[in-house]
Amino acid sequence: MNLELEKKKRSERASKIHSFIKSIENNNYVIDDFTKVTKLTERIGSGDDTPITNFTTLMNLKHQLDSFDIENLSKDFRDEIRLALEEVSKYMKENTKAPEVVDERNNLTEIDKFNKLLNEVKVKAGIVLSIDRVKEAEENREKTYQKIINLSNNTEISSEEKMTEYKRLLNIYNGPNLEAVTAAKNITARGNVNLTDEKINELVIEFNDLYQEIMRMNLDDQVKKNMIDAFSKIAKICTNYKADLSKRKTYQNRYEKLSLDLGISYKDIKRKDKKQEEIKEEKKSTEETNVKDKSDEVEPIKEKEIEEVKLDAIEEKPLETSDLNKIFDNEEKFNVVYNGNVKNPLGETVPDTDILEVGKNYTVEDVKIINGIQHYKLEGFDAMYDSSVFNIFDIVKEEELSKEATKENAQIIDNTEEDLNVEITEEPEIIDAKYTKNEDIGKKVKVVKKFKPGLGSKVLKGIALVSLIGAYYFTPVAFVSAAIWIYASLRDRFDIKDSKGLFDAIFKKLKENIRNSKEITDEDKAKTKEELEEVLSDLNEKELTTEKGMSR
Amino acid sequence: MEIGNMVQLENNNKYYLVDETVQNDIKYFLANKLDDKEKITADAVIFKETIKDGESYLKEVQDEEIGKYILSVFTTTLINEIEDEKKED
Repeated sequence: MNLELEKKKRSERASKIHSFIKSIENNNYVIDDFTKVTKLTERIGSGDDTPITNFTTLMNLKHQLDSFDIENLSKDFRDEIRLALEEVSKYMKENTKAPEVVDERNNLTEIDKFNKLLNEVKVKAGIVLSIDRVKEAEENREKTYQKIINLSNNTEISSEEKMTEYKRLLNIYNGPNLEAVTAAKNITARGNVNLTDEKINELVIEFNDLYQEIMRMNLDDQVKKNMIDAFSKIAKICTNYKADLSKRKTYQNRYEKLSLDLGISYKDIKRKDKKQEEIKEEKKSTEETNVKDKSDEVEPIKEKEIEEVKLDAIEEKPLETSDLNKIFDNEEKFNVVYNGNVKNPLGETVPDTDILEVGKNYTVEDVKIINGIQHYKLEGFDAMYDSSVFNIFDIVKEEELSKEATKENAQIIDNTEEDLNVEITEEPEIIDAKYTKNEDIGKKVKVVKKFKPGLGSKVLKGIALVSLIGAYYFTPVAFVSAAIWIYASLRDRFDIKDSKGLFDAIFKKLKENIRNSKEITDEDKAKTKEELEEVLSDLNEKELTTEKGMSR
Repeated sequence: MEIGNMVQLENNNKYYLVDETVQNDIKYFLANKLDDKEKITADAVIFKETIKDGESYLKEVQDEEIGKYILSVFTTTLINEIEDEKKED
């Protein structure tokens, strides 16, 4: 009985650790500090749920940060300010009182001075340089492209004329048209100032100067009233934007601190950055090649060639912080086990979990982020459930199981303590159903005997695991788990001073390869094996037959 | 066939079964390969067991996803054992 309970407890803890590490991976986080992650998983193993909660909070913060996208915030701010200033201009035009000359030397009227100040403030807010310039330049370039297409279909002119015209258009397309797009983008980028807190404070001063200037003018009563309203609105826009910046900064600080504490970071951005650079380089190279190659061409225009030119016109989209929902859209179905929790402290709504059975296996058919919390849509259920009430259960591919086996499996998971014995004892009738007639079931076991290896079972397990991690299953899951093993076990168990460098090297290499997504080479495998053999040799020499925990 | 056994397969390769787990009704073994003198080597393997006509067959797990999963199960089991032992101390 006690043994069964112990087994159940152990199984639960193993499942928790496994789902924690899988969550890190599934949500596109990468391990930056394996020592920290190792300690966290150790805590989870000891029954402490804090790291899981912290990870959920981190994801929540990430979602909040994504919703405070600074680029969109700036754009919205500029749009709102632009509209408000347009209103100010409109009211000024409606003013019936004659403008007075305020600068006799330059013959400047009040209106002139107002317009000058208005223009300055627009420039400082970056709203004069609208994206229309880019759009216009791109449209012009597109027109040239259309001419090239039309030329290709034109049967009224000779091939020679066609080629001359084609070269001319191509030169425009890759020359002045492209330069115009680039220049427009540069201008817009210059105007696209970083609207920091300090910048907004400066702008508020500018707006105030403009307001003071207007109030000194000879205005109709209604215009004056409208102006007061318009500038109140501008002040409110600035205050709201500053509040958004402040909130974002708070989230950013918390996110960075928590991320550092957990020893993980979001990897999607890094990957996209790298990919973006590659695309840029590739396009640059294609562009250069195109210009050179096309000018020397004498062959009739082919659609494919035009398509290549068209590639130049594809504009790179700005990097966007990945939307978690998008990530989940790509996830395959997977199974989870209801862990018996009933509520999520961060969630607003809690669907009825009474209809779920503790320990039962459910298939997740969709994952969504609701209010920053990951929710599962279960097959056969309408509600979205908070993911924290489930443990990820099954990553083994569904096709591995026949329909009958799946059914049996669900029954076994449903089973109570009593049925756990079925898992331990061999039941030929059940296992027989696991292969089909033509399946390669491997090599027959011809001899089985008791064996005393002379080393403790934990050491041998550890060696087997490191061997597999290094040589076959090169994964962050395995890496973290093995790191736990190395820190929690061997360091305390044996004098591994001599081997410490070796293990450090193995883990360093693992870490680098995981980060670079590098495929393990035969050379890596050979090296790992060689290093492990050295350890084995060391350990054998020590004849560690008295190790604790020798028997299971 | 159980943990602590040495098994010899029909190709004469010998392995020491160091751990086992049952997942989705399938039994998997973690095994150290033995050399000719039945000494532990640095090679290890995860086997999937199939019982046919009352005889055991072992096949190395080659599916990477399954391998990763089983490997993480074995690793977490070892962590638990180490932790339990620490508590006993």
